[in-house]
Amino acid sequence: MHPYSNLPAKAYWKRAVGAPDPSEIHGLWDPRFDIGQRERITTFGSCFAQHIGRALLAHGFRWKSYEPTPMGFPEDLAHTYGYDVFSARTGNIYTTSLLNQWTRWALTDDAPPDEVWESDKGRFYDPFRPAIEPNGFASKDEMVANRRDTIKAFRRCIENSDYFVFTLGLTESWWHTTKAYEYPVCPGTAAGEFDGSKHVFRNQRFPEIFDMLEKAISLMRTANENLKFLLTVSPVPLTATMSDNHVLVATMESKSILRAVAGAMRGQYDFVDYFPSYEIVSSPVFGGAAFEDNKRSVSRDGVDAVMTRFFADLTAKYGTIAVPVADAEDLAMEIFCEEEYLDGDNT
Amino acid sequence: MRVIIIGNSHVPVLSNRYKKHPLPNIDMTFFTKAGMYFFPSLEIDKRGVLVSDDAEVVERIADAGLKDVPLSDFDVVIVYGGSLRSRGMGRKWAFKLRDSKRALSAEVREIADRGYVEGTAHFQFLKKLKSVGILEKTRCISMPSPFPNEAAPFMESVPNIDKSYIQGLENRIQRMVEELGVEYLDTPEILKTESGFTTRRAFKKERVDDFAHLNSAGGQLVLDHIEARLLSGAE
Repeated sequence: MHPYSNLPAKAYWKRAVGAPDPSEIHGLWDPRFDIGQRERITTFGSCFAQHIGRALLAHGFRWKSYEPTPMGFPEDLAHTYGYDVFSARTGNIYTTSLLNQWTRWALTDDAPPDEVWESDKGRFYDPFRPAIEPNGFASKDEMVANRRDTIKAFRRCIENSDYFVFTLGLTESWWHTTKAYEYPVCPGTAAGEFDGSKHVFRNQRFPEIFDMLEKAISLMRTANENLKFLLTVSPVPLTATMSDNHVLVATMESKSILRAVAGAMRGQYDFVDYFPSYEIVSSPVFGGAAFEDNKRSVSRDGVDAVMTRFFADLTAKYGTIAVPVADAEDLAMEIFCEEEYLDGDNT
Repeated sequence: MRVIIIGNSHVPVLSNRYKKHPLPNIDMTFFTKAGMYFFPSLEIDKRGVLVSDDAEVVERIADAGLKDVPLSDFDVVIVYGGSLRSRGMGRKWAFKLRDSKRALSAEVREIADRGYVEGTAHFQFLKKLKSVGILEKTRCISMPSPFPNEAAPFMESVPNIDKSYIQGLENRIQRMVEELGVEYLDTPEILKTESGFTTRRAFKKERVDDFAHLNSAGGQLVLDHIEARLLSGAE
């Protein structure tokens, strides 16, 4: 007898991975929390996080948008304008330092910098959400007021949620050279203009990423002591890297660091869990089946595979019944109605 | 003058009043069904005849004597209610009003406001009328159902409504309706409170939870308002 003699089947590669068909590999996630369908869940992070929110909603979970699509705004345009992509209209929060930045704006006296990007067409772009209004804002005042709404909504997400789902996306980041604030993307790409004297690249390492995530989580729990966190790592490879490495090598390094941070955070705090969407999509065991032909975008089938495992593992451990609901958009409306504003209407 | 009023659950109170007090020289036909969301399957064929794939609606068309009767046989077509303003017993309207408190960009607000009107069953029906050429031959009047009352439970979610915001939306509805070539007839002023909502006295007393459907006195006031417009000609 030795310590490896009586481990569960999932502990042995041959039994858990090598022998079964990839579609029969189960139990990758041992959920720490019994996430109930009446509990409020908000999602933020990199692109992949939006799939999680949508799938939760589609399966009758209480995914919440605190900055919902305005009444009458066409459904097919809503995502283009950043509505109901995440639980507030923050746009992508790729790094833990950006998460910490948004959290500070929402919960402390820190205010966003007074920077605005004006296009040659006289439209104004938010440096911290450069793609949120595809045609820009009409004025700086409009942009600032709109972002203030988003910050309030982000605060409500923190204060009112039971679960905060965050998808870690990047280690590579862009900062203002002297003012110590971070941009979500390199200035000059989605909007704005790049200025080498003002904008500096920083590829963050494990200690900084862990520290920023820990700070953000700690701050959020001062506002909501019961808030629990579900971390994931985006499996989507880098579009481009500034690291001097080959983009494939840079991707593996970035994702490995982020994965390690997520694991370390789970290990350190009992109110943090990690869901292995990254492994489900990226592990060679699954043969890259979850990717589109560009080997970067995760396909609809890939997202479905990830979320199917998510719900299956919840069901296996807690008996959660998660079945697709007929009309997720209507459900979103119903949830929002009953929760926030309306009652007593049965038409 | 032959007039047809096409609408949803807001119409029966008008037809009941009309049966008791017919309007002289105005022969009114009412095409409606309470509780039915503005006949989602109601279409108009190329002849201008009301048609549907829904057996229940087909039966209703026949009951109303409208089988194979083109709408152009009427002097005036009135489209009433159909959630032009207040959808879901006012619920969506309350949501719309709530948006007034958000710092939406002007571009988003413009798109959303247009989309709100475009998305109503009432407006969609007006577009169907236009697409088959009815509006070129026949006078058409669009009339929204009344606002809910401020005391409706769902209105608690939108306190301190900015009246200018409501007026702005009203103006947009009117403008979009008129762009189609349809006359717009607002709720009679006598039914409105100072803040622009509908007075509680005009709603059914026997249904304390109904803040959307008028009682007979309210219905009579709307009918009188319609009569005045019909007799005065197009504005």
